[in-house]
Amino acid sequence: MKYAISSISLTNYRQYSGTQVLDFKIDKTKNVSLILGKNGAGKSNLLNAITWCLYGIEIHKTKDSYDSSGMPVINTSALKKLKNNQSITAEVIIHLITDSGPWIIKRTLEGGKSALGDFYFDEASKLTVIHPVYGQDKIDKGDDTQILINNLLPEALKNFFFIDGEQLREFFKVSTPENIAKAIDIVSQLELVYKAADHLSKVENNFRKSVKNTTPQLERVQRNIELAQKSSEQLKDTVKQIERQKEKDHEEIARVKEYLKTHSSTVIATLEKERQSLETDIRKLKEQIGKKESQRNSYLVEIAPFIYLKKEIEQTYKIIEEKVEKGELPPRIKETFLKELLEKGHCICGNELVGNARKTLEEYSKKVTLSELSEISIVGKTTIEDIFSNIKEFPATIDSLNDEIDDFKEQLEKKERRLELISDEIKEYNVAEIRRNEERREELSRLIAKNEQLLILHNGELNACDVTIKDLKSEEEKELSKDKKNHSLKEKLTLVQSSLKVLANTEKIIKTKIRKQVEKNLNNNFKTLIRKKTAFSSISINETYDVIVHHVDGYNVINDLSAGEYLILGLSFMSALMTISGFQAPVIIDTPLGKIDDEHREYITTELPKFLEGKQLILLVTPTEYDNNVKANLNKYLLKDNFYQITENIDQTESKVGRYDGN
Amino acid sequence: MIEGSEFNKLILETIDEHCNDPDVKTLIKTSLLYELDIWNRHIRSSEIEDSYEQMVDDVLKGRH
Repeated sequence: MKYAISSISLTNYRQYSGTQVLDFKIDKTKNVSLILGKNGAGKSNLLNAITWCLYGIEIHKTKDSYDSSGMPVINTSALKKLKNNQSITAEVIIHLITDSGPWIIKRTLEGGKSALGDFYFDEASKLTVIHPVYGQDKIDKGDDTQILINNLLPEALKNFFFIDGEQLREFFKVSTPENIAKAIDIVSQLELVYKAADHLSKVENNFRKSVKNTTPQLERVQRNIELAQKSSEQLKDTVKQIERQKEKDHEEIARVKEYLKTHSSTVIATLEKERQSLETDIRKLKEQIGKKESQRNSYLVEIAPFIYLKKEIEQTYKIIEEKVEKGELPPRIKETFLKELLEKGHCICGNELVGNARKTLEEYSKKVTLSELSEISIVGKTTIEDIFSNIKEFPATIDSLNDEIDDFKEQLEKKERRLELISDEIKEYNVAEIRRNEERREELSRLIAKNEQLLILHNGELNACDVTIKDLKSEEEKELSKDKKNHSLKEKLTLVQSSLKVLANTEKIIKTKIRKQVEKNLNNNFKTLIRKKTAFSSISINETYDVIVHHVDGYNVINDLSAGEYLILGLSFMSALMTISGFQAPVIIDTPLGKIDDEHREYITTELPKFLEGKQLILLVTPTEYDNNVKANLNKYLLKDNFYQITENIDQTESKVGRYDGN
Repeated sequence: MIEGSEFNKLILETIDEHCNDPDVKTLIKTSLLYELDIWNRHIRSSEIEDSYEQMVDDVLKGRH
């Protein structure tokens, strides 16, 4: 269902005291709405108000100690004004215009002051949805009301539509392949498949327990299945925990690297930049060494038998040569060819075949039919000549491959030594915070490497466990077949197990299909939005969900993009996911243009509204972001009525929203 | 997931393409529809398991 927000109303919500209303006119061409506010004025809490109203969750939390999670949702000034035994309600109402008519979504949370003067808050907020059903307005309240909202836009997808600009810029800086896989996983909506598989597995176990006529063998097999399944579950949990830890470590190390790279000390910033470039080179060198070693090994596997059997091959060659000399082996001429010549009576040179010439040919013809072995020997002779030539080239070929590998290894060693030196230099720097960050970086690198090894180990164990379960299930099937009374149970188990196999296969196929589609959309979006159209050749997402930004010169520049390029990459990815999801919700971006250069700022504000044509785009911007160029660009897509500003009181504790008055 | 979305289609098409057993197809499709029906609803796990056992029984009844 396609929809747009026609109005947001906030009452006693966070710093918004009283009731604040933002009405939006829906216009197909002028699709941009703007909300202007200084940092800390309440822009992010407007975004929070929307997600709180829809899902009961606030997505944006500030990083400083004045964390909004510590503050009550209800406006604190209004709370303070309460007398004992009085209560107050925080309320956010969103009006939507949908294909099927208008919707009203309301979420409230009640709080108050007890008789003793203590503040209290309801444990859970209350959601009410009024929506059209067969032309009538239907009011829904209670547990299942959330389903209606999830049908508009599932909660899992909210971050692809309600976007924190800063997180978007950081997305590809700090993202691990696991993050990318997770995002694609969410948008693929395979949750349904996972849940069905999970429930079918539970039912499979229930069926197993209900066996009527058991034998000691069947009992043993079923007990072993249960034990193997438990081990598999434990291993899966361990793998998940390690992956989560690895993800956290990756995010932290990315932050540490960014801290060093953007440090005001040029010495540190330059060293960190050099290190990041060395790390890219080292990755490439390792890849090249791997490829060359694999090429050398394949070559060795191919040629080794011939080298070991050189003597025997030489002997065979000698025998064939002797046979040819003695005329015991015919030349390599096809029987049909000779017969044809004899029948026609003419040679291919045009001379008539008579006398000795004809006689010789007739003799040859007899020899040719002697034995198939002679034909094979003749071919073998030619092959052996090729083998000899290969053996002769072996020392030079292997030396050349080894030299290339040694050269790469030498380069790698140099670069790794330089990395160590850089780390030592940073650790010796006379700023404690820098030294602390460098030590943390080292520690995190070690932890990530250790966890990667653990993952290989546990995934291997998990695969072995799965094979054991599979074998045990076949054994169980055989045991069940031995007694007719178990026939019905066997049928049920077979049906459920076959369904589980199909679901697992479906999951794999769909994941690949969707990864490819996201990659395609990502490329199209990036090409549309990026300013330097010729600098990047393409973007790929490989099977392990690594995102590779291919520079025209062939390098992967994912770690070398500017803030603006990172934002565009993030935006292109989010937009690719948005399209794939099939949901047509408004797009709201908080601080989309912060920390990016003027050129990109201008380019994005020119391209983004066009790019999201037909979709409602609400931008929450700071006055710094809203410079003259941005103003001129966005004006083409902005209705005056859809331009709001947030103003604060003198103490900066309360905020109000009103139409933008130009000041 | 919204009913009739591209993903529903994709999932069902993939199952159709890669599964030849009509009973397996029926059980999977029924279970996916059921999951769609109970999506985001708080249903007791024992109730869900009972429904699944019933689905399996129904498919096998249809076979005999």
